[in-house]
Amino acid sequence: MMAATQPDPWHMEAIKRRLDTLPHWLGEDRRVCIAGAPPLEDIEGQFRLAGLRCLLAALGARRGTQASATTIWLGHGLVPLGPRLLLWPAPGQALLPAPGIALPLPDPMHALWGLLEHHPPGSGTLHLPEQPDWRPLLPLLQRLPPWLPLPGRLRRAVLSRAQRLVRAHAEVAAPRPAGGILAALLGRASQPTQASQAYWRQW
Amino acid sequence: MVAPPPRPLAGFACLVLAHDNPAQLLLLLRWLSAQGAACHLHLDPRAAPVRAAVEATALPGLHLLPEARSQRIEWGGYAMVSATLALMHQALAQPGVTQLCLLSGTHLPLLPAAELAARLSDGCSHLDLRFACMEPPERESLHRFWFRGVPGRQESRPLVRWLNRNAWRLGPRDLARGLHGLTPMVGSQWWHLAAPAARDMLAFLAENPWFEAFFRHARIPDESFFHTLLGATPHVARLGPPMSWQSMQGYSPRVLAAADLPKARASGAAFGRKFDLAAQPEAVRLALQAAQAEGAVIGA
Repeated sequence: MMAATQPDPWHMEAIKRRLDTLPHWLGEDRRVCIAGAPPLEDIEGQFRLAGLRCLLAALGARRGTQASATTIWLGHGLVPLGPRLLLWPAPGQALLPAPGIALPLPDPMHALWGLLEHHPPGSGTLHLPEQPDWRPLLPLLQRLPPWLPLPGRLRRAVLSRAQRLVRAHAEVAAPRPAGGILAALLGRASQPTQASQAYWRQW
Repeated sequence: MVAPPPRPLAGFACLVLAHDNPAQLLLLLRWLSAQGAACHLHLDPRAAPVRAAVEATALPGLHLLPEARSQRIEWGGYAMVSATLALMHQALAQPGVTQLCLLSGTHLPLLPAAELAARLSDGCSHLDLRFACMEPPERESLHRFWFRGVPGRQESRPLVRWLNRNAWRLGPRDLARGLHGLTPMVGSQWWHLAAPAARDMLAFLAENPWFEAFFRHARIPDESFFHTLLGATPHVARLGPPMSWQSMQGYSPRVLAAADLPKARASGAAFGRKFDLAAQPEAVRLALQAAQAEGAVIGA
């Protein structure tokens, strides 16, 4: 096993700034529709979604319908149809063949850099599950039926619990790059995998 | 023919915020003026005796901000930022400015002028600049951005303390939307900026009025406004070590004694605070003596 690597805060800042070029892809009216959102138990995916929402809020983008707006597909479910489609699946996830533009940008989760408190490090290693399903780690998720549409407040509470869980540890063993990004956003080291090393090298 | 005295701080604009202790303030202004720096001074409108004492000196290179443009400053309030911005505008309107230093009336130099000028003229800005998210939660961290604050010293004003401790009940502000995606940064209030960085920061403010509107409701904005602003410019890539050194005691810097000077000089900072002629005259004498000595050894 390779030693865990601590994120460099200025590297995180530089990656976040690469997201500033998103308006170039959105068109002038900046109307956006998000499609392919992850299920609730995919906490890494939920942080990607939260990052994208932060990014769009920062850019002053407005919500639109799939028929008229730019659609950003996050990688879950079928690729939607629309006049203008941007594909933004999780790092390492294969692109479906679709008539859209694969965004040449780092993961939208990086938009959360600087907005999540780090707190003093806890102890031990948090092992994230092989599949992106955090129910074994967060008992709260087991109590919520997956079909239930959650209000934003409850969704934020779930993400807050997930943050507390990561902060309670000194480092994270993440099978997916998204888990490593989440660890870095919270100031925690992560054990590199081949996929995560390729991701950090790219950005 | 007598050669003109050397002016190692020519091109330096020192922005000084003060409200009391005119004797201490004048020591700093005289030293800066003698070294060729321009001094731009903001005095709280309530400090009439200080204003009178300063006006009586007629120091060369001293620009006192008119009382009508001065701010009534409350600790931790936005007026401190407004006062600093007024001084920046005034300083940058003068020709030949290459460096800006923000100082309090209780700062004194820790280095001889030539060494100080060389250290700060490397093209970098010298300030304490950190990511707010990395601060320990007990040091405000992102709370100062999330929750609105009432200015005033919390340790001596129970109502201010109560209001600020309960501001979280109103819910956090949306930082991504409020800061338009900028990363919240913090650091010590006292800074040095290379003039191009300062000009770009003022240009950013002129084009983005939302930035000031956001910080009007932040807690202790003088410790975050300029840091986040500099972070929004490409100049953040050229940062040097902080310009100012102080020793904290609780929430405030303590008055430096003579025994503190070796540690202060060893920090490598150009200026130190807090000096007080009435409380620690020996520290003031030694600091000024070292600042006059050419080729003084750091840490000696």
